Amino acid sequence: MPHEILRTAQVATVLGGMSAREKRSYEAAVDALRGEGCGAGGYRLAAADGDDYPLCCRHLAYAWRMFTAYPRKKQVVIVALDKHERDHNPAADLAEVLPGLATAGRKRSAKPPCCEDAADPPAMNEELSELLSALS
Amino acid sequence: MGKRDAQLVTEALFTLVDAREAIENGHSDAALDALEEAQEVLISVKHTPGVSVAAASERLGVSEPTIRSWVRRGALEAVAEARPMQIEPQSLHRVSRALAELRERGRDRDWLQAVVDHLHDREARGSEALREGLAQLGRGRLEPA
Repeated sequence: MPHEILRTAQVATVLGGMSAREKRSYEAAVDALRGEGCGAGGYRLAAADGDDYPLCCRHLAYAWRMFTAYPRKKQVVIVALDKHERDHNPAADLAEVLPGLATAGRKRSAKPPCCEDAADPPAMNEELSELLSALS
Repeated sequence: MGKRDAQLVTEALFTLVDAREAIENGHSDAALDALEEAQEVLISVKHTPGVSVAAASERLGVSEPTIRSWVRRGALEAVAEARPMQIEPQSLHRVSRALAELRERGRDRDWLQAVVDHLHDREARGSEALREGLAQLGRGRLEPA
């Protein structure tokens, strides 16, 4: 049984401005999510404390990123599309966290997959629930 | 630099020579005393409160635009109202030490990659697009993809 794929208005708006190549990349990702669920979600974001965050990020064409959430079983919400525009200067990035340099990055040695098992997608945690309450 | 300040710098230089000799002879207490004395003398010299962007660039081994970028990002502190921009010495020292640690530990590529991943994830969590999407998710404004 395929997964239900929903999207926010933000996604629809961004899609309207995408090129044909970018849209194809998005549609391929949606098809993969429909079939594989979180297995096609990309990688889990890290929370501020270094643990996993209940959102996933999949890279699309031309530095576009797709963020997904998994509020219910067999349901995927494409929360946002965003383009990674920043200048990738590792030294400048690293300088952002100089005070915490010794501890940043210690808790994860690699980006973890969005989920290990499509039947067990990332659960919405307290941090995200609070954020949603505050935003809505 | 005026004559008095020049004399103070010379005095500090001699004190530093004393400190070096004390270290070479294993007299660490005497060396520390000499270093403190040199520091006090140098502090009394009239000088600008900060370090120029060019000097900070040389000290940290990064470009001047990078120094200005780090000031904008808050990693380095600029001296208030100093024009042209000057870097606050304490923050320069802190960043210098942190960068030394980074360069040392950066030889561990896994660790460095983990730091970069951590930063990218932090940036992603703070993206305006994601906040907007989450707000819409929170309000249940969803449509079929």
